[in-house]
Amino acid sequence: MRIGLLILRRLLLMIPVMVGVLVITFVIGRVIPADPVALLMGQENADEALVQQIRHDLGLDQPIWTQFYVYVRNITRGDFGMCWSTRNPVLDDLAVRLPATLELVIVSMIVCIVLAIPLGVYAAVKRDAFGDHVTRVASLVGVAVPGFWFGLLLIFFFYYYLRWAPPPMGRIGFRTTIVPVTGFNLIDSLLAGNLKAFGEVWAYLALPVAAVSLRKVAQLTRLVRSSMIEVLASDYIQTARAQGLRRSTINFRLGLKNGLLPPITQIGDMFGDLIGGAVVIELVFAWPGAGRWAVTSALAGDFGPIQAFVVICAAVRVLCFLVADILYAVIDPRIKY
Amino acid sequence: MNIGRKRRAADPTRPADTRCRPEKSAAEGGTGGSWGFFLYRFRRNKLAAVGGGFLLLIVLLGLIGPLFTSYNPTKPDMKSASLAPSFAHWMGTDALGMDIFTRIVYATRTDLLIAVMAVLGAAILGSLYGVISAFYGRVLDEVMMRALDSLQAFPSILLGLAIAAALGPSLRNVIIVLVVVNFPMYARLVRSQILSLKEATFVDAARTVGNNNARIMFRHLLPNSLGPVYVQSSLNVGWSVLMAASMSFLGLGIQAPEPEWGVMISQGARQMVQGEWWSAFFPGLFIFLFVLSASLLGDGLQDVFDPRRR
Repeated sequence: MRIGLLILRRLLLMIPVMVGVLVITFVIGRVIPADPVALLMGQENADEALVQQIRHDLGLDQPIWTQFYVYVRNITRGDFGMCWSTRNPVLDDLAVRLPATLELVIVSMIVCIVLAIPLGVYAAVKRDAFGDHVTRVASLVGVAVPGFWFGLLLIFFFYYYLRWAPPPMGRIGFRTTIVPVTGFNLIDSLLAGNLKAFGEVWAYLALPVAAVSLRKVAQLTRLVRSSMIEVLASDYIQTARAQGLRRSTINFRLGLKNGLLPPITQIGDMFGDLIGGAVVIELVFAWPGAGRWAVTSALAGDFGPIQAFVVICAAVRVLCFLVADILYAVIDPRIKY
Repeated sequence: MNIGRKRRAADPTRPADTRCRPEKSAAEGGTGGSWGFFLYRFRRNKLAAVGGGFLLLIVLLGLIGPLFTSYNPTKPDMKSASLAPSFAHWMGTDALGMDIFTRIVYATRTDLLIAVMAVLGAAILGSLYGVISAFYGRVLDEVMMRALDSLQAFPSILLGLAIAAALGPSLRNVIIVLVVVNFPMYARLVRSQILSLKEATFVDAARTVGNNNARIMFRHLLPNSLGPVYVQSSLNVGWSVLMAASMSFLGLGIQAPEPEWGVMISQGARQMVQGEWWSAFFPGLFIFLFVLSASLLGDGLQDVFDPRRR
C-alpha cells in the first residue's frame, strides 16, 4: 500500500519533468539552428519556391507554439519524424540499433554492480590494509581514465599485440550469422542453440564493456567503501561485534543492507552515465548501436536521430530514478514519503 | 553539506575545529587567520598537494612549452609521418607528420582555456540561478527547480552532444555546452546553502539597516555560500576536460587540425590497430593526468572544507 502510493506519487512527479525534457529537446532541435531548411538543403542555390514548400510541409511556417504542440503530439504517438539519410521513420531506425546499445549498457551495468560492491565492501572491511590501499588507488585512477582512450589501449594490447581479441569492428564476425529475434545477440544466439556464436558474442563484447564500465566501477567502489566504513563504525554493528556474531554475518547480513543505501541512488544514475559513455565507445569499436548512429547522423546534418535518442534516454533515466526510489523504500522502511 | 557557513561561522558549533587550530598553524608559519588555517589543513593532505603540483606543471607546460619545441603544431609534414618517439620527436609524429609533443603543448592551452571558462561560466550562472531561486522561493523556486530537474533528466553527455550538434562545432560552443550541462549542479549547491542561510540573524540585521534585496543576495548571502562551490569547481574542472575531449573525439567539439587532446586521440585512433600507439597514447595520458590531479586536488579541498567526510 505504502509502496503503491509512493509509485503513484513519483509517476505524477514525472509528468512535469518529461514536459520539461520535451521543451528542452524542442528548443535544441527547432530554435537553436537558425533555419533547419537551410541545413537540410545546403546553403547554396536553394530554389526559393522549393524552400517555401519544404517549410510548409514541415510545419515551419506555423507559430512556434503550434509547432511545439505538433511536436509533442507526434512524440506521444511514437512519431519522431523521418531520418533524412535512410528515409525511414526515425523510430524504426532507432529500434534496429537500440538493442546493440542496450546489450552493451546492460552487460556493463551488471559488470559494475558485480565488481564494485564486493570490492567496496572488501576495502571497507580491510580498511587501511594493503588491499584497501590498492583498491583506493585503483578507483582514483579509474575515475580519471577517459573511457574512449582506455578502449583504444585495450584494442592495441589485446587485438594488435596479444592477438587475443577479435577485430574492434562490430558485434560479431562477418562469418557468423545470428537470426535476429530480440536483437540482443546474447539471447538470440542462445535461442538458436548456437553456443559457438554465443561465445563469439562474448568475445566481441569483452573490450567495449571493459571500456564502458571502468569509470563507473571505480566510482561505485569508492562510494560503497565510504558508505560501508560509516556503517561498520556505527553502534549497532559494535553491539553485534560485542555479542560475538560471526564476521560474515556482521559484514554482509547486517552491514551491507545499510551500506548499500547511498550506492543505490548511484545505481539509479548509472544507466545515464553508462549510455553516455557507450556513445563514445561505440565509435571506438565500430559498434552498430544507436549512439554511434545518432552522432554520425548529427554530423551529417540530420538531427532527428539524436533528438529521438536523447528523449528516449531521458525517459528511461527518469524511470531508473523511480526504480531506485522504490528500491530504497523497500530496503529502508524508515523512509517516509 | 553546508560547508561555507561552517568555515566562517564555524566555531560555536564545531569545537573540534578550534581545538586543532591555534598553535599548530602558527608553528607552520600560518598567519592564524582563516587563510593560514586553510593552508595548514591543506598541506597536511599530501595527495591533494601532489594533485595541485601536477596541475601547476601542466599549466606551466601550456604557458612555456612552446619554448621547448621548434615544430609547427598544425602544419603537416608528410616526409616525417608516423615516426616512433625519438630524440628529434619526443612523442613521435602522427600520420600527417605533425610532432605530437608540440601539438600536446598547444592542446594544453586549448583544454585549459575550455576547462577554466566552462567551470567559471557554470559556477557563475549556477550561483546566480541558485541565489535567485532560493531567495524568492515559492512559485519561482518551484518553477526554476523543475526546470533543473528536466535539464538533469538527460544523461549529461547526451545532452551535451545534442546541443553541440545543434550549435555546430567550435571552441565557443564547446564552452557553452559545458556551461549548460554543468550549471544545474552549482545552482542546487548554492540554493541549499542560501535556504539555510536566509533565516540567519545577519540577514535580518542587513535588512534592518536598509539593504535592498539585491544587496542582501549578492553582498551578504552569496559570499557566505561559496565554500562548496569552490570544492565542486575543482572536481568539475577534470570532468569538463573529459567531456570536451569526448565531444572533440566524436567530431562535435574542436575540429582537426586544431590541437586538442580529444582531437589528437581521434586522429591517432586508426593508427592504434596498426600498432602505432604513440599518436593516441600521449594525448590520452595528458587527459588522464589532468583529470587525476584535478580530482586529487578537489578531494583535498573537500577534506579541508568538510573534515568529517572520509
